[in-house]
Amino acid sequence: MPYDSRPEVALLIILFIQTASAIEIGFSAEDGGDSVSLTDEYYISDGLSLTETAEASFEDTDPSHDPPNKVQITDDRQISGAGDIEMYQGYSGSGGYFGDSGIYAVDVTGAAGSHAQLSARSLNVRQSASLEGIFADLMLYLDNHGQQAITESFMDSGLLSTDQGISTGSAQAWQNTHIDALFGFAGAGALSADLDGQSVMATTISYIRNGDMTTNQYAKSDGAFAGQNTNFDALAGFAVSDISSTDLAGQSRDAVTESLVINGRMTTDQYARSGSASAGQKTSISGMRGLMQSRSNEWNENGQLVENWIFTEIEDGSLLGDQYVQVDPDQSLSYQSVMFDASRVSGQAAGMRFQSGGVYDVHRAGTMFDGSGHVTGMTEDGAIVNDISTEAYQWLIAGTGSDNDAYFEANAEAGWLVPESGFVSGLSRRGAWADSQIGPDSAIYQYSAAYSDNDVAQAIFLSNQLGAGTASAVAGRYLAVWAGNPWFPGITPLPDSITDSMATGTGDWILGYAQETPDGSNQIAGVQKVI
Amino acid sequence: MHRILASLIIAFVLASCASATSWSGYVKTDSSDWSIERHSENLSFEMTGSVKGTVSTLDYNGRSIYPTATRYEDIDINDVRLKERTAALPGTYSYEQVMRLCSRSRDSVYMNISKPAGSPVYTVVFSERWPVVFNASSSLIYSGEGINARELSENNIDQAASTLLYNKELTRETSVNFTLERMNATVLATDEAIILARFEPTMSLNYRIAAHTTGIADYSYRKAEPEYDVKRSTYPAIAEADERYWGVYDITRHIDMISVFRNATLASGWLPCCSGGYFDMYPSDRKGGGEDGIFNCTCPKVPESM
Repeated sequence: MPYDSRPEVALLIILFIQTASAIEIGFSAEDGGDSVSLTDEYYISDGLSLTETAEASFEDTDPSHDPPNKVQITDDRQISGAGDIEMYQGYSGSGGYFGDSGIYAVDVTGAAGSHAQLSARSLNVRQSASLEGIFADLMLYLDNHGQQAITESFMDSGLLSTDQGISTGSAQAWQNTHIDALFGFAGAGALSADLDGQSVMATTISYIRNGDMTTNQYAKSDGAFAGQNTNFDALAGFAVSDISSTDLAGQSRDAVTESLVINGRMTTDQYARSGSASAGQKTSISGMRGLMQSRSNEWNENGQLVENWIFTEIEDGSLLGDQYVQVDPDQSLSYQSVMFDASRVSGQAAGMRFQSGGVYDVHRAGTMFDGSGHVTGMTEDGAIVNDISTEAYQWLIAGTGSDNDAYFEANAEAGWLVPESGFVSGLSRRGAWADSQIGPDSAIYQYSAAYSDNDVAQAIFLSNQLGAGTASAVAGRYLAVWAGNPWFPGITPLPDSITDSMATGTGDWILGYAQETPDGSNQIAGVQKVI
Repeated sequence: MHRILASLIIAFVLASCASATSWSGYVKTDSSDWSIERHSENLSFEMTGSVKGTVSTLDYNGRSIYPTATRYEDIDINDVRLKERTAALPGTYSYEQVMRLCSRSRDSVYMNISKPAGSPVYTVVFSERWPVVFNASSSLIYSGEGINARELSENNIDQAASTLLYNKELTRETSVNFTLERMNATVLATDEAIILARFEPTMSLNYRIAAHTTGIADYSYRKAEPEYDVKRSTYPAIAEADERYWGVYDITRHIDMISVFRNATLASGWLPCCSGGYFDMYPSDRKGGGEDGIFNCTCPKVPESM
């Protein structure tokens, strides 16, 4: 399941644990109450050469510094050769920042270096490396009065070439990295937090298994921002940008946009922003499997958890699309526009609103399409949730190819989750569900939508079918089994429901409609041929 | 002769460099460590003064206050130090002093670390060019119930000092001339231990004293070797002496200490023989030379047979 299989969104920070003895060297300078400090720790193989030069200067000749820095340290270091590397550099200034640089590598050949400029209130560090071998990890970290930035990249068994940096001035981190390895990771993150409990965090991460990745990443704190521009050619590649924020009232908001390719190529531009959190993605995938997904959730002022997500997944083909997810106190939405050409394609747009006190009062609206064979087409999907209603919609144009058997189905669902015992394998729902499907070697034009609020659940589809299929609608109680692909419930009507179905043929315009109220009254379920 | 107040305190304190310019460095290994801390300032200071009078009883609000004349002086800039303490009982007291100090601390300080491939040894070099020029001369003449006068002159790790105690008659003429041009410190270390640490200030200490004493006279000097004793955390003396004289003496002393070390940024081909002295030369540089050529500052001539 794409949703369930989403990897943990968190920067993987390798702790530089000193595994053996090391030499520590310190250098600090002070003038007129301003001070800067630099600390080195080295544990490196004899086969490596090291040079480092640090200059403490007490006169600032840069006219752009206003006021001039009283004291500065500029440091350059370079390590090259073959062997194991464990080196750390720490930075601090009397202005209140502190930062770290770490390079950890096992059985590598190549070179790594850094350039750091420290003054009492500012820090700029740039670190680069080109290392080939068993393992290599480079990391930079900065904390400037609660504004934090981190950037890290590492590889397992291969080549890592990276250029990364951090700087003060609302903490920033960036990296340009190329990895060709059995496993590779690159990530940048920024966090801004204050003593009142407000925080915003942005992370952008990409990693590969057995392949090649080129990524340009950026993260910035103080209203956090994260970005990514990444190319994959790998057995597996994954990219994600994520935002998380907490406001003064303790309400949290999260938004994430991510993409995945299995055994193929992917190009993705992603960004994430905080404030009224948003995320975005522009992705092209060609591979054995590809996925684009965005999710968001927030607690609104009524104590309701508002959550929505949207995704499209393909197998053996290509996917080109845009994604956008936004979270704000009044309205959360996910939006996706996709073109696809694959042997299997599925997509979903959905939103949920959980009432306070438990999940049994959940309001849900969703749409889904699922096709197999040779499927081409395009879709625009959206899910919107606010404190009144939950809705989801799809505009879908799809074709099933004649080169092999094909199948396509699209449906819409809206309803409430009802507490019920005895349905161990599924969930009991009250609501409305409408579905249309066609058989092999044909094509379909489909529109579907769903809507749910406190008074009524509605599901609707309108299709122009160019092949044979079955259209159905259910209102009432039904068993929704969360299985299959995509992650959308299969529907089994229960005795107190009403159902309507009809066979459809080529050229039919079919309207399916279902409606129900929370108490089970006003059940409507109908399928009719419009044209 | 002027009468002076029962208590006379003259103090010049230049030691408070905490808010001025400073730098520090350290090297820490599993078993040993080494550190350095330096303070200086862009400073120009000149002072002349004289005090002449009688240390005598002071009547205040019907009470008689026992008289002393005391003097406290502390100068410390980039490890160029002058400390002086004087306390005199009733008697005639005359003191004259001229002092000039000039220091600079705006030049950059460097740290260089290197480790060649194939070696576990790190070389860490700290280089500083914060010069200090300090000249001071003073004249003290006392006659009375007793006076103690102590002074310590120190230029980085070299020093000369005199302590003149319980003198009823004392005449002391001192002159110190210090220069500090630059300082290099070099540490060779592995992960496990510090192999070698050298503190190499290029400096001179010129100290002259002529005194007529009638009590106890202690004289000492200490010239330290640049190599750090890691176990004892100190720079051992390469030459030092302590002398004590009870009674009436006329003593003169003239001490010159000069240390010249190669600038770490200069190539090793620079004239080592004329800089740090024979014993600070690398063994390869001693070839063909000897102490004579060092102390008269002439380079050794390679014998024609070599």
